[in-house]
Formats: sequence, structure tokens, C-alpha cells
Amino acid sequence: MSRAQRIRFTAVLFGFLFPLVNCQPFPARKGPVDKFDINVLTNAQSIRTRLGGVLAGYLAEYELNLQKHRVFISLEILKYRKGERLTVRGRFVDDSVRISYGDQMNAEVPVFHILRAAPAPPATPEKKLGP
Amino acid sequence: MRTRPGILKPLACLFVLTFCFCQCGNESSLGLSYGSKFMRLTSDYAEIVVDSAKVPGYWAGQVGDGERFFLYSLDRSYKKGDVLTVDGAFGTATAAVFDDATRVYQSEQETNIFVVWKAAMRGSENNGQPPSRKVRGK
Repeated sequence: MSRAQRIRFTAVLFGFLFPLVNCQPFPARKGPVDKFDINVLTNAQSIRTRLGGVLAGYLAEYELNLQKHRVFISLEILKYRKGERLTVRGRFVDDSVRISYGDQMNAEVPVFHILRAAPAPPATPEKKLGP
Repeated sequence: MRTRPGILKPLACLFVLTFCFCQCGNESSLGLSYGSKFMRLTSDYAEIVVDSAKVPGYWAGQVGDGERFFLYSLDRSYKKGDVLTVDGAFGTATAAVFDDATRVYQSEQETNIFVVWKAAMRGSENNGQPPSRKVRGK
């Protein structure tokens, strides 16, 4: 292949790669879909993320393997309230926020993008022993 | 200059096909239809979110087949149970929705949206008023 042909081939290759890059967003680094029960810890708030965007949502807590984890859940409609218990389905995205809650100041918590949220059935109360 | 059609032709075809089938982010995939529908409101004033923009209006079911629509309207004077004849454009879009009755939130939900240009109230299911001819534009 001559030099001119190599240049033309490269130009054509770039020519059809350009619309692909231009039209399709770069693959967002998102995790698989997860589902768990959470407790909403705060009222709705807007907060700047590590990557510079602003997200609206709630700080929440869930339990996994007997450990409590905090996440910032992002939603587009903010109708839930502090203290609600939800069953959520969504994805962890490659971003985090710094947030203060309780005894933790400016703790970095991951962002969880909600696909579906619904009120969780109330936890079964523990049986009391004795009268 | 010599060309090599064996390589360039398929590449050119691929290039054209890429352009034809590429869905650019700014283009709306909303296919619109126009017409008049007879709707029963199934919610009070609510809102959904389409492409990060808040869209106010009402949830409604089409009288007859019960197909569910979100009526985009800035008029807050209607209430759940009202029956309306609405003129406007309608289509499907992906939206984030929240159901007040069940408190279920869903993002990326395929939603029928009706953009109300003109609405005429035909009576209220709640108070049993006779059909009204009052016309409320957007």
C-alpha cells in the first residue's frame, strides 16, 4: 500500500468513526443493576459530585453482610421524606459525593442512580420474650 | 491515482449506513400525532421529568379504552375525577414518573404524553355536576 493510499484509508476510517464518536456518548462507567432495601437518612438535597455535576437526592443507608453502608441515591422527582424505608433498584455510577452526617464529617459516599423505588414492607418486629 | 474499490466501497457503504442509523443525542425520538381525546383525570396536579425538565400536568385515562396519558398543561384548576375533552399533540417519551397513590418512583418509563392545546370540561365525577361548556385554554 502506497503512502497516499495509507493516508486516504486513514482519512476514510476517521470519517466513519467521527459520527460514531459524535453521536454515541462515551460508555458511562456504570455497575450492574442492584436491588436492596434502604433507609432514607436525610431530606432531599442537591449536592456537587466529585466529577463536578450537581445531583439531587438523599443520603441513605442499607445493610449488606451485617454491615451498614451509606449511599447517595439520586432521583429526578423528590417526593420521599427522611425516615422512609424503600426498596430500590438501580446502579452504582462511577461518582461520589462528600457529605456530613452524624459523627462523620465530609465522608465520601458513592452515588447510586435509582431506576425504581417503592415503599418497602415494614420490617417484622422482633418477638418479645416474656410478658 | 489508483483506487482500491475492494476496500473503499464497503467502507463508503458503512459510512452512509452509520450516518443513516446513528441517533444523535439532540434529536428527539418523539413521534407526534394530533387530535382530540376524551379523558378522565386520575390524579390531581402532578409532574413528570423528561430529559431533566419538569413537565407539569395531570395523569388521565382515555374514556373507553382506558389508555393512560400524562396531560401536559399549565392550568392547575382541574382535579382528580374531572372529565375533559382535550385537543393537542400526543406521543411517547421516556420519563421519570412518581405515582402519588402507591409512592412508586420509576425512571426511564415509557410514557404517553398529551400536550394540551385546548381543554373543555365535561363534568366532574366527584361532585356530580352537569356537563359544562366552559373552555379553558392553556
